Amino acid sequence: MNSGKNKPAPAGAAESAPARFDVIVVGGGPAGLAATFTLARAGVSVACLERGSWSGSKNMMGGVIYSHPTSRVFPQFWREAPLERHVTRRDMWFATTDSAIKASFESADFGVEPYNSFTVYRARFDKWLAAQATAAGAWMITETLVEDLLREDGRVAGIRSGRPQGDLEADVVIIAEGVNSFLTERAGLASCPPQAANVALAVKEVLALPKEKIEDRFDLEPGAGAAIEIIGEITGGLPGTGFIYTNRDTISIGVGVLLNSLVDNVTEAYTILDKFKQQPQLRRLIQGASPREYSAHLIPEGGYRCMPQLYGDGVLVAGDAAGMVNPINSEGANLALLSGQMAAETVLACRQQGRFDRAALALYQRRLERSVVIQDLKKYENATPFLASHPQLFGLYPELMAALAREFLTVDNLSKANKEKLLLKLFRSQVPARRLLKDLYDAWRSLT
Amino acid sequence: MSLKYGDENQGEEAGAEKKDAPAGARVLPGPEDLGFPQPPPAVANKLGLVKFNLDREPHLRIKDAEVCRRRCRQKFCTHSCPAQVYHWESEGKKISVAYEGCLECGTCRSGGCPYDNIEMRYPRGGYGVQYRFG
Ligand SMILES: Cc1cc2nc3c(=O)[nH]c(=O)nc-3n(C[C@H](O)[C@H](O)[C@H](O)COP(=O)(O)OP(=O)(O)OC[C@H]3O[C@@H](n4cnc5c(N)ncnc54)[C@H](O)[C@@H]3O)c2cc1C
Ligand code: SF4
Ligand code: SF4
Repeated sequence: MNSGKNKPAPAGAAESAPARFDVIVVGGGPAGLAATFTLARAGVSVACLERGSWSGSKNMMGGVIYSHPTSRVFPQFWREAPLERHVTRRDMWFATTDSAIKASFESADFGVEPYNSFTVYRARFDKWLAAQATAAGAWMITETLVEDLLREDGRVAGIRSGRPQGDLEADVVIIAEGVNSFLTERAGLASCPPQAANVALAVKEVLALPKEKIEDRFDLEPGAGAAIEIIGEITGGLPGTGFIYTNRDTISIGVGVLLNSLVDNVTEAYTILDKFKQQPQLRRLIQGASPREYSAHLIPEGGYRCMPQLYGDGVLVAGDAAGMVNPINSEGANLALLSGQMAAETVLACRQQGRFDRAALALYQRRLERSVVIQDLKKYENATPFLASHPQLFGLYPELMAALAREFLTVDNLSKANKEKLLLKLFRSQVPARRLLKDLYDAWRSLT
Repeated sequence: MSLKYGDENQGEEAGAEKKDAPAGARVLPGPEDLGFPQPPPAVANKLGLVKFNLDREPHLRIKDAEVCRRRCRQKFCTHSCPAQVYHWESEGKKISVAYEGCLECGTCRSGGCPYDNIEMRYPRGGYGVQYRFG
C-alpha cells in the first residue's frame, strides 16, 4: 500500500497552477461550485480547492435537488447532469414501529420540463458541477486540503494548503467548506461553537434493487421517482426524521437525528437505522435489496441563530459552512447553490470598485437578506429548539394518530359514535387537552 | 471489516495498486490486523461496503486519556460515532481509535464527545473515505 507520502499532483492542475488568483473558493460542494462557476463564466481567475479525489467523493445527502434554484445557477442542468429520477411523488408518513399513516402528493407537472426535483448521487452530481466550472475556465484543484487562511494586515489574503509550496494568494476567499466549519471558526467568524444541540447526525444506506421492482413497489411511471419523508416512533422517539428516495436502480434510505438527543440517550444512529429498516411498511419496500454503500454526515440545525458572520475583510462564507439549512426539511443544497452564486455576484460587484474589505463585502449580507435564503432561515428560527423540546411529536403523537386510525378503520361491533367517544377518551388519557393545545399553538408559531 | 483501496479516479499510486487487485478494489489488512479490535457486526458489515484511501497518518487523537478513564462513565464516543471508530478497551483502560474507518462526519468534534476530548481533523487531501454514491 502506498500511503504516508505526498499524493501526486492532481491530474491537469496544480503543477502548472499560478500561485495567485483573483478568487479562491474552499470546498467543491454545491455552494463552492456555484460560486466558482459563476465567477469563471464572468471571466474572473478563480481556483476551487477540494480535499477529495474529485468533487463529491466526500459528500452525501438524501438527496433531492430542486430544479428551480439549481437552474438559476446551472440553466437546464437536467439535460446533461447525472440525475437518477425526476420526482413525481412526495409522501409524508407518520409511522410507529408497526403502522403508518401516509400522506401523498403527486403532480403531473412534476413529470415534465422544467420538472420539480430529482434524486441524485452526490459523488456523481458534484463531479458534474465541477466539470461545468472547469469548462467555464476555473481551476479545480482536487486532493488538496486547505489547512489555514493567509492573513495580511488583518485581512484574509489567501489560503495555506497541505501541499508543498501550498500557499495561494487571492483578493477574496470564499469559504464553502460544509458543516464542519474549521476555517470559519479559525477566521473568527463562527457564532456558535460546534456542539450537539446544533447538528443532526444522518446515516444512510444505498440499496440496490432492479428498476422494474422499484417502479412496481413505489407505483411509478418508468423513470419517475418518489421521495418519502417519515416521522414518528421510528426514530426511537428522538427528534429526527427518516427518508426513502428512489434512484434509478437503488434506494436511498436513512435517518437523521439531533445529535444531543443521541448523546443524551446513549443511542447509536445506525441502530436506529437498522430498526427503521425493519418497520413492516418500510421493509416491504426494500425487501431483497442488497446494500451497496453506507455513509454518514452532519446537518447544521442551528438555523438563523447560529449563522456565522457571513463576511469579513477579504472573506465570505456560503452554504452549510454558514449554517444555511432549513431545519424543517433539511434541504440545504438549494440554499448552498444560491448563496454560492450570491457570494460570486458580490465579488463581481466589488471588483468594479476594486475593494474587498468588510464594508464592501457587506453587500453579500444585504443580498441574502432580500433573498429566500435568509428569509426562510429567519422564518424557521425557532424550529430546532421547538422540535428538540417536544419529543412527543416523534413518539406519542404519531402513535396516537395511528391508534386513532386503527380504531376508526377496524370494523367490529362498536358503533361509529361509540367509537369516537372511545377514541376521544383514549386520546385524552394520553394527552391533557391543555398540553395538546399548547403544543399545537407552539408548533404553529415556530413551524409556519 | 475490510478497507478497500483503488478507484478509477485515483492518482498513479492507486493505478499501480489496482493491477493485481480483484474487481478494481484491493482489500487491505482490516483494522484487526493492524492491532485494532474488531467492531461489532452492525457497522462492520456496513463499513465493508465503503471505499477508503488509507492514510498511515492518523487524523484523530484522544486529547487526554485520563478524562476517558476517570470522568466519562458512558464512553459516549463508542455510541455516537457512526463508524464505531472508538472502542473502549477494558483491559488497557483506554479508547482505541480505528481511524481507518472514519467517515469524516465530524460528530466527535461537535458534541459526540461531551468532554470535547477528541481532536478531529480531516485526513490529508485525497485520503480517507471515498464515496461512490454519496
Ligand atoms: C442525510 C442528508 C440528507 C440531505 N438531503 C438533502 C436533500 O434532499 N436536499 C437538499 O437540498 N439538501 C439535503 N441535504 C443538505 C445538503 O447536503 C447540504 O446542505 C449541502 O450539501 C451543502 O452544500 P455545501 O456546498 O455548503 O457543503 P458540502 O456539500 O458539504 O461541500 C463542502 C465541500 O468542501 C470540501 N472541503 C471541506 N473542507 C475543506 C478544506 N479544508 N479544504 C478543501 N476542501 C474542503 C468537502 O470535501 C466538500 O466537497 C442533506 C444532508 C444530509 C446530511
Ligand atoms: S466520549 Fe470523550 S471522554 Fe468519553 S471516552 Fe470518548 S473520548 Fe473519552
Ligand atoms: S468524524 Fe465521524 S466517523 Fe470519524 S471518528 Fe468522528 S464521529 Fe466517527
